[in-house]
Amino acid sequence: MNDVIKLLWIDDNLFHDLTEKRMALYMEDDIEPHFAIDATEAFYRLRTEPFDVVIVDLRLPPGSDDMWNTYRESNFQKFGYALLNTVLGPQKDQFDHLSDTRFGVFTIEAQEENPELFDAPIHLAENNFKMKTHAYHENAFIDFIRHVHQSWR
Amino acid sequence: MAITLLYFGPDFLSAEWLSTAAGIAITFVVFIMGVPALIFQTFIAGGLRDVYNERLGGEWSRLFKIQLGLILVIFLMSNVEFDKYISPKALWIFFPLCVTVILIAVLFLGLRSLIRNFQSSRNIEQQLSEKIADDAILYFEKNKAIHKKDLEDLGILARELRSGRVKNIFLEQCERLVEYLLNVPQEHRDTKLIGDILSDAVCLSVTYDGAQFNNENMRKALDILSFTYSHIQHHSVGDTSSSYLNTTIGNCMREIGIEAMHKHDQPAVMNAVEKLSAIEATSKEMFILGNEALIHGHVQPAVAVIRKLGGKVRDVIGPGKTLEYEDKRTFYFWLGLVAKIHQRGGSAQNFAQRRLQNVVAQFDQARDEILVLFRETQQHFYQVAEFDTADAVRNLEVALFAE
Repeated sequence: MNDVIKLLWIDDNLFHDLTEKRMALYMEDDIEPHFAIDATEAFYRLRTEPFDVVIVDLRLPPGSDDMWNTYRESNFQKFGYALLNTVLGPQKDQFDHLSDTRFGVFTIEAQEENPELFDAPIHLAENNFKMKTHAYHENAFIDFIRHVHQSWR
Repeated sequence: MAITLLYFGPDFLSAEWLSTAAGIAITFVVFIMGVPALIFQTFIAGGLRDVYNERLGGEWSRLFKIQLGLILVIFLMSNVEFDKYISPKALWIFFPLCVTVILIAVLFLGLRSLIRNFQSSRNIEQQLSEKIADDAILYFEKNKAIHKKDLEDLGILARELRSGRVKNIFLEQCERLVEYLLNVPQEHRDTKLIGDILSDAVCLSVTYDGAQFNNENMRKALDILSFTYSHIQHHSVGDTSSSYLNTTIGNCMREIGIEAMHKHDQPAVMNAVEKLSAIEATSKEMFILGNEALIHGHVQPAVAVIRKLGGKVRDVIGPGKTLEYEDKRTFYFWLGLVAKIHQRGGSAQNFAQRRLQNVVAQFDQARDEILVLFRETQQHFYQVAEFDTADAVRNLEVALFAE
């Protein structure tokens, strides 16, 4: 049996603008796609399930949980960053099962606007950052996921 | 003008003047009471009127009693001869001052009520939702239970409220109530109660036949259900009663997904599939959703369900492996849906074959085992009178293992 990439893609536009990309993932034999649309939902899924690849949009809604209140109070918008910072930072002990997980960022912002992603505790590889554009084809996105899977964090 | 008369009129406390003053006050009170009442009765939805009167109508009767009392005081002043007990030096200022203060009080209370009523008429539904949630929390703090009336009123709001922002505010209040109940220490936590709120208020608000809702409301309802499940999973230790809640949440998500399908709201259907797949032991609900999608001609949700169930099947199935009951059920529902997609022919058949490829290939050296699973699947669907699916599985078996 082929190796299957268990993917969690976190983006609040999954069921609207990104429908084609989401459906294209369902058609790939080597990718088992799962989706979350806010930081809370993603946090709880990451706490229970191992994933091979996690793709995060930076501008996520926080969702219901109070754990994001400190970010909310400072009018912080990038809950994707808050999620990565939580999972790979202060609460890392709760996510031991993600030690082999590769993280990627797929967002509308430019890489230069988010230098904090490449520092501790996230240490995102530069090639694991991809900017969303309208011209970005489904196949290119699927290749990006495969690339993230093969990368080292 | 009344105050001018009071101070400069020679007979300021004559019976004629007092009756005029009382007349003005009564007219004012009737106006203050009448206009908002007319507005509410005209514009508030019929179903909500009773809830409003019970929950927020108390202020009206309090104000009426206070104003009536104040007017009675004016009458008493003219008819009870208590001026005998007041020093003649203070008499010239005492009565005008009293009447002035009373009239100002009547005017002020009335005006304040009028302004508040007009301001609040914009957010009646929001106020009602907040009030019911507040009352329910207060009652729970005292009695460790939710008042039946609070649950009933939440159900009424779920059915009657308009779609969009108003319904989302209602759902936010339901979420607040559920969050409060989830944060109650585990020994006092009542999962049955949380389940009742989820099914009778949250789920009902988007699935009730005739209820108004939109995509935003669907998403909010699904978020509340998903959050409740996650919270219970991560903040409970050995809580056996949570399986009831899981079942309730699974059923609610399925209902929301089906309702969304009937409204051709594909994003909400896909969202329901995704959230259902994260909940334990919901393969049946997912099958129902996928099957319903196929019946209505929507293939994409069925594809998503097959991939979700397929992931679970891949993790547990293999030659020589003993399957737990729940894993077997997952296999039945996955195979049932794959068979139904397969019989559509063309590209759908190609997709089904690709899904089967990995599973069936594992059993190349154990054909009997996979055939037993196919037969059990047919039997399962036959027993529950899902004849279409049973036939589809039999046809698939013939197509795959004809020789």
